[in-house]
Amino acid sequence: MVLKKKRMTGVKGSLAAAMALLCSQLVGGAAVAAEPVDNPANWAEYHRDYRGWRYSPLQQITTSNVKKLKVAWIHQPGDITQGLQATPIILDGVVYYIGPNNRVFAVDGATGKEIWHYYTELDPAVSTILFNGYNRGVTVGNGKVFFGTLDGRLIALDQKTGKKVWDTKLTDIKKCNGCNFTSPPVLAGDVIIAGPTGGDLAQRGRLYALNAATGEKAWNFELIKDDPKSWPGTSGEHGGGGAWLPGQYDPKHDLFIVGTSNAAPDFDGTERQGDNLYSATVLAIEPKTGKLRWYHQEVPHDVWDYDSAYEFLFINKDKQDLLVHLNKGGYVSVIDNTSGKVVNTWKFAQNTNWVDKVDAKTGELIGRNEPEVGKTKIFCPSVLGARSWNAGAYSPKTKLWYTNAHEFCEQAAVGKQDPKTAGNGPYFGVADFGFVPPPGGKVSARLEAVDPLTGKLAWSVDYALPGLGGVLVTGGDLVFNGDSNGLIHAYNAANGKELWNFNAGSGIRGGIASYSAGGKQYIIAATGFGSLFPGFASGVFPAFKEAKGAAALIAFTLE
Amino acid sequence: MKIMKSISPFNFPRAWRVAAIAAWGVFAGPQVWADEPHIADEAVAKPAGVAAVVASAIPSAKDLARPDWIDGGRARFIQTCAYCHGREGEAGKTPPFRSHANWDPKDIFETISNGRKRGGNVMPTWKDAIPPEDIWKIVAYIKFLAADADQAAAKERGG
Repeated sequence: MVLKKKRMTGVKGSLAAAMALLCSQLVGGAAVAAEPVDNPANWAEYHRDYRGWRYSPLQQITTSNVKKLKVAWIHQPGDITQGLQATPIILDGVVYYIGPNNRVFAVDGATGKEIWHYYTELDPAVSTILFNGYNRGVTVGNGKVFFGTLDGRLIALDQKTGKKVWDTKLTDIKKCNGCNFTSPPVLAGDVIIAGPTGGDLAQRGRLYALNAATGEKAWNFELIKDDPKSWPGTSGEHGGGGAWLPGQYDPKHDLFIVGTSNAAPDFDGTERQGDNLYSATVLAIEPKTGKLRWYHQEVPHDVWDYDSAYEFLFINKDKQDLLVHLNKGGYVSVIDNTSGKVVNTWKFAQNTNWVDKVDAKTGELIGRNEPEVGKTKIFCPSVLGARSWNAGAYSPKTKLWYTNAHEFCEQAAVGKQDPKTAGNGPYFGVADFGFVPPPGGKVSARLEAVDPLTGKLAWSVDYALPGLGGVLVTGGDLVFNGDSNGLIHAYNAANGKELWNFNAGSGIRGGIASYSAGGKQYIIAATGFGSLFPGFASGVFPAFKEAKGAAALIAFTLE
Repeated sequence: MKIMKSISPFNFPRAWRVAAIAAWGVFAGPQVWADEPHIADEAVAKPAGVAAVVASAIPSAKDLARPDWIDGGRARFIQTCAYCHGREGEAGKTPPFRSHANWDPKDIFETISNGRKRGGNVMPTWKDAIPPEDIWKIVAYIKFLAADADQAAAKERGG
């Protein structure tokens, strides 16, 4: 374990300030948002609230007493296919989560006793799906529990009973590859918005918005822009462009912010000369109408599979509303949330060679190093990014962003691939492809604490394997992170010192959250691999071969 | 493969194919791997009812060793399979392909065709996306990788 203390801001005695900040930021949204996001006991959204912080203000569990953290209860979904990848939602002491193969549960947060379950009857055609088995969460609001299915539907359940309210089929997975749903849809006022998985498949991606009360279609947003300058010929018909992570609804500006996936074929740009909008793009969409207010394309004409899908941190700095966003290419953009203009970029990955640099003031890519036909080249980071999709956490007390990171590369050469025969498989357009260590270096992984606006490192902890779980930071100044060997660690948020850990027995791919029930604070972790990543990366991290499948939701509280 | 092409059930429409393969099996007789013992790898699932059908349709060991089949299989493997399994089957959640000795080609064919669920892992079914003749080429490439392991092992034994 390596600790680097380069910079620390004062953290003690700042709780009041943090709460004031928290409240001030929520005032604008309280009237519009569907859930009481200002109730510290709850974890109301995927990232707790729309700001993407994964910060719980609860402070019963502290750096002093965390050693007394013990298992309170365990709930098992009864199916371990692709593990447990969700972040649970907790409202008024009830935990809502989704397990493998679209099994949805409501569980008593104090006891783990099941209140209801809903097992989705899935079309047998789901056996053909590449991104299969898993789901990253439900969304709860307006008295309903919403989720997307493996067979292309959005379903709303009654929050109290778990009975189906509506069920809307949006895509035909027999005809459209990569058109299944794996992430929680986002509730934005009266509409619920979802995007499909497939940036890497030969399909044409779009966002779907439904009336949240009835399931009737409200609008679609085409992620492949209908413009021959962006997509010449028929290239857009199989241009990819999914939106496989949930995005976030900003009630303050009444905007749905979402990052889109890469263009396809991933590495072969020859048939799709142009900027390939809106792939690898940050979109700000007005949820009532589906109208685009602004956009920022992070990777024009992407030929490296550098999605823009990861989470956004909403930070107000000097009265400016900013979005902080990590792209899979290993750079972080800081974007003005009213205009979409880049105000800063910084390099998150230690190894990058696909561009010489990204202009700090404009976000422009300078010195592109593209894949070629007939020549294998090494690109860093790989298609698996400098981090996977598992979100980091931000504390308003320390003003630090806590996030996993990893360093490895890939070798690739462009190869022609017929979109008609790509089928349900990847549409990468490669003649050579494989993961490799950074040139002249070693593969590595870490958890780091960093200033999200500047990239200035406060501390980092080395990991043997890439961390694939969502991070939690609390008002008790604790950072919780689950690793790929199954250990859940608690660190001092100020300096990275490890204070507690627990062996869950299988790697962590889901999120860790915190809530309060019956006057007690709980830490809850979605545990168990799962996930395609360990298989992808086992060539460069052979210990991933030992990853064991499991699925268990584990709640901890003080003795 | 001229003879196989002319009478192969792979040329039939999909709806006929199962019946055709079965009939063809009776007509052409089962082709047995003379140069390899039939030791089923425990790691390969055998979907019930399919084994008998496919067994009768397997290409000969000679065909599976054809360089053009291996090259064709490699190209498709890199496009479709390498993301999960690595370029040479070194990744994924299974033992490296090169470590597989005596891997029965029809078990490989069945696993690719029908997918596999084991523990937390799920591999999709590919029979609707990849024509059987192309799946056999992927099998040829995988056998090519595994054959290397066989030879290396034989060398170690002084064989």
